[in-house]
Parts: sequence; C-alpha cells; structure tokens
Amino acid sequence: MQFNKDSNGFIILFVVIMVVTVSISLSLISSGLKPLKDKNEMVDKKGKILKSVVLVNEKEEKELFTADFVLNEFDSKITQIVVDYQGNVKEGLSSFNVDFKKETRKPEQERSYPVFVYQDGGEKYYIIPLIGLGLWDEISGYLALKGDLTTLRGAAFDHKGETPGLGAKISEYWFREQFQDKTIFDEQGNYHFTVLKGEGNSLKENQVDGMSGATLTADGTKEMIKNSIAMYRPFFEKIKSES
Amino acid sequence: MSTETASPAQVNSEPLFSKKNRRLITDPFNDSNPITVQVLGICSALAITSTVANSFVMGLCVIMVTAFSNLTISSIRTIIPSRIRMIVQLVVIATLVTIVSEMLKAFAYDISKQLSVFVGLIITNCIIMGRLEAFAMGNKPWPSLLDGIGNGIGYAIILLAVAFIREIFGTGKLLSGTPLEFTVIPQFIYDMGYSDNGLMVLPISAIILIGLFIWVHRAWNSKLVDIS
Repeated sequence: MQFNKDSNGFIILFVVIMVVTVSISLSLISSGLKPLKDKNEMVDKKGKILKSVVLVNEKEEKELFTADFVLNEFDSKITQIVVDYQGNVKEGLSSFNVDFKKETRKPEQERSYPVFVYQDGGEKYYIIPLIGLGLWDEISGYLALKGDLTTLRGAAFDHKGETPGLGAKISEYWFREQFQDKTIFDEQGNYHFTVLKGEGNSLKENQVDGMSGATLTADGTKEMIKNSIAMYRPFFEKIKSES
Repeated sequence: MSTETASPAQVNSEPLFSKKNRRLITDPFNDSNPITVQVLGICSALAITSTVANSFVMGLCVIMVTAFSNLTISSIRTIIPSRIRMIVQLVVIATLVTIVSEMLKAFAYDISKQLSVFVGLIITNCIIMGRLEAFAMGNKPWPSLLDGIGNGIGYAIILLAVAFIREIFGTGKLLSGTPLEFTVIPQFIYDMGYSDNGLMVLPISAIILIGLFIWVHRAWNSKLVDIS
C-alpha cells in the first residue's frame, strides 16, 4: 500500500488515534490500580500517625508496622475528633478525612482541625498534624502530646523533596526519637520548644538537635511545629480547663 | 504491558538468539555501555544511587521502559510520520513511565516514595530516546526489544556498582531500606575512629565514581580508546 505518511491528513489521523489509545489505556490502568494505591496511601498515613505515639526501637518498628498492625491499631485505639479554630469539637466529622493542608489555607474561622486521640490503657495521647516548608518542598508530620498537653510523647515526619543525606534525615528514626519527653510550654505556659542548628548540641528539655548540613530543613521543622501548636492552642486550653 | 508482547518470531527468519542478536544484549554491558561509553542517563545515575535497593528498582524500571518503548516504536516505525516522530517517541515513553510509576505506587509504595520524582524523570532519560532514534526507528521489533533490554541492563549495572560503593562508604550498610539490610563495616572500626564519608551520600560522589568507572573501563577495554 502506497500512502504518504507525511501528509497533514495522515499526521492528524495518526495523532488522534495515538492520543485516544494512550489516554484510554492509561485511564484504565490508573482506575484499575486505584483501590490498591488508595489502600497504600491510607496505611502510610495511619502508620505515620501511629509512629508518633507507639514507641518502640527502630528495629522493632520495622517489624511491627505491617499493614495489618497499622489498620488494627488505628481502628481499635484511636478516636478521631475535629475541632474548630476556637477549640470547640465539631460533631459528626472524622478527622482522618480532613485535609489539614487545605484547612490551613482557609480563613481561620472556617478551618477544621483534625485531632487523633490515642488511648492505651489509662493513658490518653493527643496527636496533631504538622505541615510546613523545608528547603525544597513541603515537610509534614505528626506530633503526639501526652495527657498534660505540655510534654511530647513523640513525633513522626515526612518530606517530599529534601536533599537525600541532609534534609531527608528529617524522616529518620534518630531525629524523631529526640522529641520524646520534651516539653513545648514552659511553666508559665509560654511556647518554648525549639530545634537547634546542627547535631551534637547539649540539649535542654525544650530543645532537639537539628540536622547538620540542613539548617533550613531544621528551621522549617521548628516553624512547622510552632505554627501547628499555635493553631491547636485554644483546643489544648479547653481540655486543660476541663480536666 | 503484556498486550505488547506480540510474537516477534515471525518478523525474523534468523534464529531468535543468533550471535548478532545476543550481541545486542551484551554489547551495552561493555563496549557500548550507555553510561560509561555513551555517557547517557547520568542525571538519574547521580540522583538515586545512594542506596542499592533504590538503584535496583530504578534499574528494573528503566529496563522495562527501554525494552517496551523500543518494541513499540519499532513495531510502528514504518507508519510514524517523520515530522512528528519525536513527539510520538515521547508519548510512548511517557505512557510507559506512567504505567511503571502507577505499578510502583500500587505494589511497592515505600520504594515509589523513595524514588519520588525520579521515576517520572525516566521520561527525560536520554538513554531511552537515544535508543529509539538510533536503533528502534531502523530495526525490526525483536532486535529492538533485545537492544532495549541490553541497554537497560547496561544502565542498571553501573547504577548498582555506584550504589554499592556509595552505600558502603556513606552509611556502612548494604541493602538498607529492605528486610535484607546488614551492616558491612563492623562497630569496632567505628570505635577506632572511622566515620562514614558524608560526601558519599551526596550526588557529587556519584559523578566522581562514574568518572573513575569510565577511566577504569577505558584502561581495560582497548576498543574504547580513540587511536586516531
């Protein structure tokens, strides 16, 4: 068959067929895999929330945090509540589905803040989400506070594009581990938590090491925690006054 | 992707693994290695070689993409209008990369998170488009598939070699991030004052290593030396 494959008509036909084929096959694959991807993302998010509060050493953590454990633990021990900017509980909402990043972009009065309450035996821990900016991209995480709402239980962090080996250390175990038992408010109730520059500092109860070579990521972490705590402060005050 | 594996035997009267065809796979390991000889695909080789596990997965992804993009382009090479051939090549590459990336997200979520943008950036990996232009546009599907697999493996070998050195000297471990993780450098060496080389975790070390690889490769393989 002799045809001119460089004629405009054929080029248009070729492109149309190509684009239709590609888009149909890609959308089929994408929607076919969607349940799996959604489940992975859900397990990942629930796992991060739990890592801030379930304290085991690094090795145990790797073995313990299977998908089954995460889902089971989350469903059995975590109560989800949503609060408004004044700290009042909004009824009938599940905090897992609240997109904290989107909420922080709304005007303050319209925001919904997600809170996860982890109950283990008699102890209650409050987990709040964090979101901020690292050096290159977004950093995020979860901060777990003990029942007194002053002492930290632990923290978990994630990042999108920090430098591997430098800022990416934010998601490593040793960095998270430092947050255990630190205090975020001083005795007068003023915020005093800070992330220092570099590693190997001698630390007070309100300080954690930064990451050497990644001062901007560390500063971002400091700001991120400060901002989140400020947003949840009214809620904390309410809980404290009730107890 | 399985739909694309049309039986290639009919297009070729010579044996499937004739000497010529085998060379298509093995040449990129040595004489025409995409990284150390053709110096293609360096960008991702620098970025994701900090651990062996990442490099392995990245290598697999690239092998998939080079193999199937070569196969696809070669099968339709006679009807691709030459004025838009680059666009067609890019569409095929981008489609395959998207499929690979979706698969990773569905079946290997942790690794897809670690590789982050670099899976998407396979699209810009010069090896793939280079092979499409240089080989698949002018050869039958079966040799093109072999050429794609060969070049993908040639790329993966270098990636693994670089990652091997970077991971040992950068973190003292191997296969970290997988259940098989183990420590290579024993604690007593650290106690004697050794410390991990921070440079090794940075991409800059990869370019130094690849430079050294090219040097060693050329010293060892006399065919690569330009005698003119």
